[in-house]
Amino acid sequence: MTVDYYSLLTKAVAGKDAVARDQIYKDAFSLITRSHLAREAASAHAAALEDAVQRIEDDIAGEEANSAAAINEVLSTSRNWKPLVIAAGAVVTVIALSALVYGYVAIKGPGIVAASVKAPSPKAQRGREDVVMADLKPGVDGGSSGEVLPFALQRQVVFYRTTVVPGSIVVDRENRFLYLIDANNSARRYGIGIAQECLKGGSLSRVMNKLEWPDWRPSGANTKDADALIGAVGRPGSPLGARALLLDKPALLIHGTNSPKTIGHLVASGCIRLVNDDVEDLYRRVSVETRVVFVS
Amino acid sequence: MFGFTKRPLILRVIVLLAFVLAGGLPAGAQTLKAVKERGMLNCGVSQGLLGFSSMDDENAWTGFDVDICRAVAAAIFGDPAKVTFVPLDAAARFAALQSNQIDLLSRNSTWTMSRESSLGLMFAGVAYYDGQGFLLRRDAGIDTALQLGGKTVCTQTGTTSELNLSDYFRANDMALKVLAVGTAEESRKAYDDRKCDVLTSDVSQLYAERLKLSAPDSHIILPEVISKEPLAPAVRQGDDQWFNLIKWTLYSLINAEELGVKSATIDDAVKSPNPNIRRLVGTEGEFGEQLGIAKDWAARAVRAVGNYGEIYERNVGTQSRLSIPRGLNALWTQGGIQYAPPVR
Repeated sequence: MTVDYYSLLTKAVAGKDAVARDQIYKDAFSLITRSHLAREAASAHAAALEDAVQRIEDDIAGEEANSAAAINEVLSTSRNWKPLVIAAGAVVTVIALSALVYGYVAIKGPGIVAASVKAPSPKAQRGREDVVMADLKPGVDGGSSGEVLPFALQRQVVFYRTTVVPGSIVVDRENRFLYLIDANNSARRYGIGIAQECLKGGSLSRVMNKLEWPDWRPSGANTKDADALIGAVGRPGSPLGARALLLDKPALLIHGTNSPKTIGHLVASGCIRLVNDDVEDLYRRVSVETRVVFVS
Repeated sequence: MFGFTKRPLILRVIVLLAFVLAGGLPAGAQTLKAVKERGMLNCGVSQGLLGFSSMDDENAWTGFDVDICRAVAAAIFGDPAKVTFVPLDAAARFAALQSNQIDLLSRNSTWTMSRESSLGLMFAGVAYYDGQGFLLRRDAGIDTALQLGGKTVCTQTGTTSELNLSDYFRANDMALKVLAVGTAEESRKAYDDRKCDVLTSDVSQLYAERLKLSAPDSHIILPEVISKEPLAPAVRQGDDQWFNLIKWTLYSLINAEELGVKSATIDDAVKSPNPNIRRLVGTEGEFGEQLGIAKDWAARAVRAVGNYGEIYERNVGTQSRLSIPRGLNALWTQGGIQYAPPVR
């Protein structure tokens, strides 16, 4: 009677670690001991088992050595020319392609170059200093909700660590956010649009006055919009929106807008604008004398 | 009968040992061994900085930095008294570490890049978040640094404080008048004599200076911090085992506070069913052994000097004369930024 200990045990120890394997071997030996076999038979089984165990452990040791060798091979790039050859091939290909493209552009003229330059840069997408977003005409109501905006620019409570005291407003000009500071490192964050003239200036200000549906007067060149103005004062469509918080310097104010899509962008006129729903929310929460801190 | 079945295991152990002895550990992994053989930890501290390291009336070292040394000694020996304190001035501190005179530097030193990249040091984690701040008279009615425009500020000449100051005022569009003097002493005196309205320095120093003013309670320190001064214990490069030991001793003090493990309740903590606490105090796992010290290393440290919060409050916080608010040094769960990776 022969038992194929090798294949039995190979299945049993597959994927096991050294300690688990050792336990399996021990169980196998105690099985033989407890089988009440004749002494010769028992010792024959034990010897067969011993051989099987030795073969399995040798196999495993061999596999480990192989995987170590494989790792070494990956690490020793100096002996491996393949990647170098591929890289060199890639460089040659790139050079050849550039030459072709250059030739093509030279034949077709500069139009293609201009087109490729026009590809939207991340700068333009974020609404930076070099791009001014146009407002809707006075009297045209683009809505009062921020739902159309990218999520980051919508009103939300966020984690915000600052030494500015709770209840204050923090205006982050660079990132186009206005924060109303709450206790415990949290703040209500609103998306803002900002006019060029409000990008610079002191860091500390305060709310001097609060207005509902403020009057809007066209500045200089816009006087021809007087018809629109009649419809714009104190109702939806007003470029100053539903509410305004006047700060302690002339022309420095936080206000609403009739153009929600301008939030997040640099704009031509006004100062710091929020969508009407947001400016109403902010208006309810702050009082005169509230501190306003400009950062960045 | 099963002797041979163990052979692969035994072989494995021998190979592993040979690997460890031959090169598994860097050649510099000698600090812990040397400290154990010496039976004492040599710890570099400041010569005298109230709250951080100073001699008390009974000639015993006391302070925040001193307690970090004691916590390490307790973790290694189970005895916080097995420390030789080596008082060092600012110029000698890093050389003392490089020349093996001390095993650990716990001396209000700011963790900076160049100190790691060119001085051969490694900082083991931020023990105290300090930064430059402002002290002024309470009756000035100012509660934010943004109201300091046009005020005269006292500082020391040629320090980073002077540079940070002008940067901050420029960034916030405020007019700055500086009165720069030679020493901290002169700076404080000029402020006390009303030659300037504001005194600037690292916040921990301002709290110490305030105690020396004629009427400490009539002065306040503003909440703003205008520079980063993370104070950290330092070790030599090249001994990862020792670096790990210092780093995880500090982290265990912070983790102990987060888990509510205090010096007074450490014996209850050892019996806690909470797995996070069990791992920290060594009831579960072999984290101490892996560092080369006892299983209950962290429990020993907390028993000796308390958790991070206890060390803070006793030396520089509400139970001390300095009374510095926790601020950034509060746990991350309490609005601060002290945050230790988990023991796992």
